[in-house]
This record gives sequence, structure tokens and C-alpha cells, in this order.
Amino acid sequence: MWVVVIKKISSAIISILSITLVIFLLLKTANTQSLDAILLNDNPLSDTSLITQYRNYLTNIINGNWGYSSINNQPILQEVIALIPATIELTFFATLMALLIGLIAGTVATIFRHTFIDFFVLLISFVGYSVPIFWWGLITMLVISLDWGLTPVSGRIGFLFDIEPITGFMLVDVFLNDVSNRWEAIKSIFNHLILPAMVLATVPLSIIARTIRAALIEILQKDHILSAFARGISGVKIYWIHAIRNALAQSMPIFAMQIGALVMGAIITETIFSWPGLGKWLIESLNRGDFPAVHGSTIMLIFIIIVINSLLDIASAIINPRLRKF
Amino acid sequence: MNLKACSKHTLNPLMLLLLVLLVSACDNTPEQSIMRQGLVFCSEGNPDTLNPQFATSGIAFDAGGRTLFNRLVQLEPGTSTIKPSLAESWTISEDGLRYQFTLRRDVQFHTTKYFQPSRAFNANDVLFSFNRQRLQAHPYHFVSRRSYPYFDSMGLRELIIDIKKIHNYSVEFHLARPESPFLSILAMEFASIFSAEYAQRLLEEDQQELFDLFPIGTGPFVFVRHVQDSHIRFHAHPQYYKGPEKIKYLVFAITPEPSLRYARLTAGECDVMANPLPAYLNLIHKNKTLDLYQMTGLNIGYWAFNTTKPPFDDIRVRRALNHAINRQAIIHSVYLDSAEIAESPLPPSIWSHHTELPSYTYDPVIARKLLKEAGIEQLEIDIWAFNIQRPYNPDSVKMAELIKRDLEQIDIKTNIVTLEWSSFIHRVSQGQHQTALLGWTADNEDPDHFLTPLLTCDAAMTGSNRAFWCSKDFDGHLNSARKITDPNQRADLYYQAQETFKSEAPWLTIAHATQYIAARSHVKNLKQTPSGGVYFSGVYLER
Amino acid sequence: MLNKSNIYIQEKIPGPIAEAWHNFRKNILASVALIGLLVIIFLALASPLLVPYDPNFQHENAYLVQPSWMEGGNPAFIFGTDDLGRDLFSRMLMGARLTLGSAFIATVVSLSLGLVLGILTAIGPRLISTLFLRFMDMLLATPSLLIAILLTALFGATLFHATLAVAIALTPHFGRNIHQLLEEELAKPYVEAALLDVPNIFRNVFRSIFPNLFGRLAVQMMLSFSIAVLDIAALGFLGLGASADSPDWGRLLSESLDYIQIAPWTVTLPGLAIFVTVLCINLIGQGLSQALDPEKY
Repeated sequence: MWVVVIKKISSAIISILSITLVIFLLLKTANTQSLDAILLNDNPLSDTSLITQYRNYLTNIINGNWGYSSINNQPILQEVIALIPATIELTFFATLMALLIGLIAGTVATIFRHTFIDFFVLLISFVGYSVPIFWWGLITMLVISLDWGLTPVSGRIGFLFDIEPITGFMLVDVFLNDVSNRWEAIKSIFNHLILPAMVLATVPLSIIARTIRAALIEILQKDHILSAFARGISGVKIYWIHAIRNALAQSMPIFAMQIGALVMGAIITETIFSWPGLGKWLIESLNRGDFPAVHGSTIMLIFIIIVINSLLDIASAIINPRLRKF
Repeated sequence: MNLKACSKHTLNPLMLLLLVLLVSACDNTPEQSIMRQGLVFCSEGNPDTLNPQFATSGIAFDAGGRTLFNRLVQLEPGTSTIKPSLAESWTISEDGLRYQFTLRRDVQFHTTKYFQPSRAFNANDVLFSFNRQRLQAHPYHFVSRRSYPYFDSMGLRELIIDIKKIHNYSVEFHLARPESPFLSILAMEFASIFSAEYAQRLLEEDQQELFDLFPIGTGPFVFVRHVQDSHIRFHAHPQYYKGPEKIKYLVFAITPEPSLRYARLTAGECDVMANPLPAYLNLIHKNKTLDLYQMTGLNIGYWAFNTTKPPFDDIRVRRALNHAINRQAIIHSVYLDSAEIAESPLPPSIWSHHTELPSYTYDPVIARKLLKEAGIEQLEIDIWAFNIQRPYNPDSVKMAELIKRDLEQIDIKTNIVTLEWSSFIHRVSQGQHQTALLGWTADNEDPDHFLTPLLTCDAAMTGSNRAFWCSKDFDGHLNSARKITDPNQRADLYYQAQETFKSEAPWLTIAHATQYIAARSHVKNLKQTPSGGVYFSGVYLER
Repeated sequence: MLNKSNIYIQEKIPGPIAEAWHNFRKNILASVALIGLLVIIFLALASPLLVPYDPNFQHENAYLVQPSWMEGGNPAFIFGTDDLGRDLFSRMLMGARLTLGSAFIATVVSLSLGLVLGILTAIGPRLISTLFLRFMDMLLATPSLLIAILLTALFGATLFHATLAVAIALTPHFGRNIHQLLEEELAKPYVEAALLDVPNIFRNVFRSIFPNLFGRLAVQMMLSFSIAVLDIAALGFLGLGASADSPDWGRLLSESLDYIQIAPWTVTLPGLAIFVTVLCINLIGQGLSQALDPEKY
């Protein structure tokens, strides 16, 4: 098993190296000014060979010299680290929601296969998969927040709560801060979280529901399951112990493929719901021409995608030994 | 209606189920206890700084200048009467060169996590606040590496010869020449009083740059936190010299998107919102839970031509562009008629506004003729617009599109360049633009505060003269006007200055916009500043 | 003459494509979607002839007119107008061209690149194969939005860069898929037989194997096309794609964002157009894969 882990880690490192190389080459072809803007420090980039320059660039990235924002002169890495928890919080809850609902929907569809319910779940998953997320976010905000008044319009927490960002995770900070009305604050956090998380979960949810359904159908036709049914073992037991777990393990790689889409969705969702995370900052920095900030947040997001992908790969290799050969 | 119909088709029932579950688990009743004591203001942008000495935008004065600081004197809201503030009284010498102020005692600075003052406000703080801007040798002059746009463009460096501390509660200003608007200058935000003790302590700790990031003042509210692009938090100053404010917390929710700002207001997440889009005014008016405040604005929206760049150095080209634009259409579709056409840079409510200035009528034929005279066959120009809404211009991109349409009529090709607000201001003040859509809101009702920072040669040096237009005649009129105290004689000189401006046409003057803010009706005693901002001092909530 | 009539009793076995088409037609949902997509494509292609007005013409005194079916709507403007008095229907027709056109280009480009990479990695030398596979894995994880952001930040926001970004992001999907399909096919006995016949692997790939992959590739293409439409629209929405003068659907939607509460149709209609188009494409893709492999469903 350790072989797998080491293999995955090394391939992640290679990925990161090649991504930075590609970005470096892009920077070089664009113009040197943008590169200088990022790495304005004691490593002069001109007058050296391309390889030395790349080495310097990489050293700076590793050492955390990500340059300074051209808007407020703050170090980029510091800003990125301050913003990333908000993005993680949102994405985490969206993933949780997608997994939970996707799993239930997929299972229900399989149980009632070839009935109206199955058709309905499939159709809904198609709809969810086809909807442009930015439009979907706007519509839900208009209807659910504004027309029905069920959730707040945007932001992470009611503005009047005085919560100092310590870890950056609202749900953690609410306990670290001395807030008199803690339960109100927690309620406010969840109220603000639910709609953006739901919007972000839409696409992965649809994919998960369909994948689980397909995997379950395949597994349920296997001989050992059929014989278990024949022996009169209760359906719930079969589904839970044999089928669903296997289906989940089998679908892991497909879920892993969704990480990139999830990050893209997070950037859009944050922009729409004015969620103060890395994605919103990235788009704002792009609009105000703050190149070092754009560079820093893009690199950070790519790193995160690669790391999570590798972790998922390792996890699925551990759960599902058949996949170890990859 | 249409909207609901679409959403019904796409609403995922599973999600609805989940939503109902979660919402019923945590119902969305407003958080009563703190909602009663705090006010949320949805501002239209990020302040570029909280230090009013550096600031040029109204947002920065709302968040920094009026909220955190006091000045020696203040303007009675809505008038041009000077009232005492940190100075209790003052005397002016007969030659108009010496101003002596007696300072108020027992005015406390903010106590925060990062600074605990050991003494009350005194003359040292006045000296510090002015000398930082005035003297290059001052240890704080170059901290934060920013310029002092107001101080410099108003020529105060030359005007103020010396500031003397007579004793702890008395200071004297020596001027180089008589300056009739001097007291109203001291009421402006850039003349705010900072804590010299705080500055000294940071100097000892070698952390001067924190001075402008974590401000300390004497004003009605105390700074708590600024999260970039998200919010700024204040709480009431318990030892405020006029007595603590009724609202305990004040939060600026930074919401550049006008539709989101309106949404937050209607949803009750904001109590007050800045600059509703003209298109929303009708909705706000009809909504019984909202109040609309309006005020004839002390502002001007204009299109500046960079007169240092050809072909805009040619007066005929500038005049041609003045003739080419249909301003009535702009007023109608950009401002939805909530503005009037501007002929002078001075709005009509300012006392020396020239009512009989000649107008450049909208006439593409004359425009073409002037261009031909200037020898221009083909012209392609850039118009710079910015991406947020300002009191004098609700939608500069839309305005640019209308201008583009008009320019097509006289065969000028136009590229619209849209920039984010802070980089827009930064690059425009460096003169990188060809033409740009800009505007100005005055800080008080003295005509000098319109003309000096926007159109003089001094201002062209600092970059606040966005046309980089420099006219000896124009400057001459303004300089003589400053030395005179008789309003009639001053007004005559300002009339002449406006005439010079109009015939040289460094701008196309577009509109004087009416200024609006909207608030939920439980917000009481809310007042607008002439510059389109809000006075938070004195506001209370009634439920 | 004789050839025309059947002398022998012969059962007619339809070819795989004819059979798939037969199966596809039985799927009502997919058939409807196909018709819908054809209509949309027709509208996009014929848009210069169909637009009632110049899409950029600003009708004075017709700001934010409601769609014709609503109260206060004007039949002259079917979908109403935007805040500058421009006809939304004309703008959407023009936007259809841009959105669908660039999505189509992105799909075709990534299909071609994917084919090259897929074939190279399936039958090429081992070193090149691993290198390219690793490269594709790396790209597979990177969403098109991040690529587009980098391109935009460095070279400026144009529809070309958005299309390029989407094409780059889609390429590894094709490459990976083609690689896998080829590996599966190469292991089958008929390929071995064909190799004995003509010992040139390249010729075999094109002559014997590819015809068997057409169906799968078509399914993958529909899937990629739908992703491309969504991504192009998302990039336009974020201001990373089309210019303000010739907006695609995403840009069109974001332009009216300020008026969403007053004139919701300016936001809902372009969004609905994207949604319906993508839904049609996905339903066709699903119908196609069902038709190719009916037992699985």
C-alpha cells in the first residue's frame, strides 16, 4: 500500500512542477514585466538562462515569495491564506450536500428502477447537469432569498456579528471568539451558507446521483448479490453492506474528476453570492489588473486541486485494491 | 412573473425538500438583540484608505473622515455656516493672516486593542496633523508613500507659513496671504485631527505604516476591523465629546453591485444604502418600508480630455467633441432624468454659479466642420470608464456607450476601456488616459473647492486636474478671488473664470446629478452630506 | 440488372449506425432534443437574416421594455429591450452564433488534439506515451476557468482566448478517452487478425478500428460540446470572453445584472437559452449512448 501512496505523492509533485513550468513559460511569453511584478526581490530574473530563471521562480514559489498586490501592497501569500478558508468552508459543505443527496437520489432511483421515480431522478439530474451555474445562482437568489425571504441575500454571516477572523473558518472562529449570542451567530452562518452551498452542489450532485445509480445497477446484477437476495437477506442490509459501499468505492475516481469543476463552480458562486473567498478575490483582482494577486490565487487553486485529487486517489486505492494498478 | 415561471421549471425538487428541512431547522428570524443596536450601511465601494489626508473618494470620507475623526471647525449640515468643533472659538487678525484657535478640553481619543491613549486631545495633535502634510522633514510625511492630494492641490503648503502652539489649548496659524475660504478649508475632511501620541508610540516601535491602517481619532466611532472587499466594522466611541452615539455598532458592508445593494436593503441586511440606481428609485419610492432621501447634489459629471495629448491639445477638437454629444439623451437614459444638464463646472446651488454661460449646442454638423478645420480626417479615441457607480454618474460605461453612438455620427471611432475604480483613479491621475469620464462632488459650498482642485495648474501637477489643462487667465481669476472677502467681487471673478473654462472646453460638462440614499424606515435622523455621503452621527433606530 | 433482385433468401442486418439511428428514434425525449437543437443551430446560423433590428442599435425611449407576452410588452420587441433600448431578441440571436460557434470550434479543436494524443499514447513508444498521459492527467484536473483566467490576465480578454482555454481544458478528456478505447480495441481478436493481414498498425487503426469507435466518439463529442457551451457562457459572464460590442449569452446576461430586480427577463432569457441548449445537447448525448448500447440501460 505504501508503494501506492509514494507513487501518488510523487506524481502529484511532478504535476505541480510541470504546472509551474507551464505557468512560468506563459509568463515569459507574455512579457517579463508581469513576472517581475510577482517576484520583485533579490533574485534578478533578467540576464540569466531560462533554466536558472525557472529555478529562481520555483524557489520563490516554494519560499512563499509570491509578490505583492499592486493595489494595496500586501504580500500575496498572506492574503491568499486569509481568504482560502472561506472558499474551503463553502466547498466542503457543498460537497457534503452533493454526496448526501446524490447518494440518496441514486439509491432511490435504483430501487425503483424503470418506474416513474427513476425516470424523474434521471431527468432532474440531467437538468442539474445542464444548468449554467451562474444563472441558477441568480435565479435561486431572486426566488428563495428575495421573493420568499427564506435565506439572506449574500455574505457569510449577519454583518452585525463581531467575529474576528482567527482561523478564517467562520464555524471555528465563532467558538474562538467571545460572542455573547453564539447560537444566533451559528444560525446566521448556516443561513448564509445554505443557498450558495446548494447552488455549488447542483452539478456534482447530479453527477453523483447518476454515477451511483449506474454503479449500483451493475453491482446488483452480480452473482453474490443475487444469491444474497435468494437466501432471503433483507434488502436494506444488502443495499447498505454490499451494494452502496462498493458503488461508492467504485465511483471514487469519477468524484475526483469533479474537484476541478467544483473549484470553477466555487469561483462563480462566490462572485454571485458575494462570498468573501479566494474565488471572488481572484475575479476582482483580474478586473482591477492586480496581476500578482491573480497569479497567486490561480497557483493556490491549482495546488489545492492537485493535492485533493492525490488524496482521493490514495483513499480510493486503499478502499478499492483493484484500482491500485493505476 | 416571468421569473417565477422559469424557476418553477428548473427548481430541483430534491433541493427544495432539503431546503425546507434546513430552513425549518434554523428559521430566519432576524437576530433581534444586536439588530436593535447596530446599523449596516451598504457602501458602493472599498475606501482606498481610511486616512482622510490621502483620500479623494467620497467612500473614504464616509468611512474614515467623518466617522473616525473631527476637525477644528465644522460646517452646519446643509449650510455653509462654520461651527466650532475641536476648536471652541477662534479669532482672526485684521489683516486676515493670523488665525488663533482655542481648543476644547477633555476630548478623548479612541481606546482600542491596539492603542490606549494616556492623555486627552491638545495642541500637539493639531500640530502633528498639519505638519505631517506640510513638512517634508516630518517623520511621518513619507509614511505609507502616498501623496496629500487636497493639501497639495489647494496650495496649502505655500499658504500656511507656520503653525504655532501658544499653549496646550491654543494654536495659531500664520498665512502667507489673506485667504477668505480658510475656515471652510479647515472644515474639510483632510484637515482631520490625528493622535500625536499614537504616532509617537508607533515611531518608537518602528511600525509607522500601521498608523494609517489602524486609525485612531476623536470621532463618533471607533475602528474595529477592515476586511478588504467585505466590510469595515466600527463601534460607538463611549467617551465621544458630544456624548456617545445611539447606534452602538456601525458596519460598512462593501457592496459594489447596485442590484445586490438594493437586494440587501430590501432583505433587511442593510439599513442604509448608498446611491441607488436611478432605475430603482421608483421601486424604493413605492416600498413602504423604505425611505428615499434626496438632495440637489453639489456635483458635476464630466468628460475630461487630456489636453497634453494630441489631438486634444487642439481647442477646435475639444469644441467639436462638445458639439457632438447629445447630453439630453444621456440625462434621460443614464440618469433617468434625475439630473440636469451642466454648462458650468459649478452646480447651480453654489453662489457664484454662472447662469448665462454660452452652451455648445448638440450639432454634429458644426462638430464635423470644427474637426475639418483642425485638419482631422480620421480619428480613433479611447474613452475610459470605471466599473462602479458614483453619485455624479450612476453608470459610466453606459454613458460611454451613448457617447460612442454619438461619435459614430461624426465618424470618430471609439474604444471604451472599463477599469476597476482604484486603478482607474490611479492611472487617470498619472495622465495615462486620452479621455475619461469623471466627476466631482464638493466638500462644501465654496466655489473655490470646485475650481481649484479640478482645473488649476497646481492641480495639473498633482493629477487631480484630470484634463491636465493649465490656463494662466483662469488661475489668475481664482488667485485674485481668494484674496478678496467681498462676495460680489469674488463672484465676478468666478464668472470670468467660468467663461474662460467654457471657451477653452477642457471638458464636456455633462450633468449635475441629484443625490439619493435609501434607508429602511426605522432609521431616523439620517442626514446627507453635500458630497453625497451620509452623516452617521446622530442617527438612531426606531422599531 | 440481375443484381438488383434477391435471388437468395437473405436476412438484412442493418449496419451499426443504422441500428443506432433506429434505436435513437425510439427515444422520444432525445428526438425532441435533437429537433430543438437543430432549430437553435438554424436560428444561430441564419441570425443575420432573422434579426429584426441591428443588435447594437439603441432604440430611444424604449428602455427596458418588457417581453411581448407580458403586460406592457411591445410586440415590436419579442423578448423586450435592455437598459440601452437594444432589442434583446436580436442580441440573443447574435449571441447564439458566438456562444455555439466558439463552443463548436473548441470541441472540434480539442477532438483533433485529443485524437492525436490518444493515438500517440495508445500505439506510440512507451516513453512518449507515459509523458503525454502524465501531461493529460495534469490538465485533466485543471478547470477551463483557471486556464482562461491566466490567458486573460496575460494576453487580455477576448473570445478567442476563452475558446482556446476551453479547448485546452477539453483536450485531455478526449485524449484519455480515445487512449482507453483504443487500448480496449487493440486487445480484441479482430485487430490481431487485421494485423496479420496488413502489418501496419497505423493503417489498421484508421481502417478497422475507428469505424467501431465512431459511436463512442460521437457521445463524447456531445458531452464535450455541452461542457464547452457552459464554460464559454461562464467565461463570458465573468467578463473573460466576448467583448461588450458583440456579447455572447453569458456576457449578455451579466450586462443586465444591475437591473435584475426591475427587468428580470434580461437575465432570465439568455440564461434560459443556455440552459435549454445544453439540456438538448445532453439529452441527445444520452440518447446516443443508449442507442449504441441498449442492454446497459
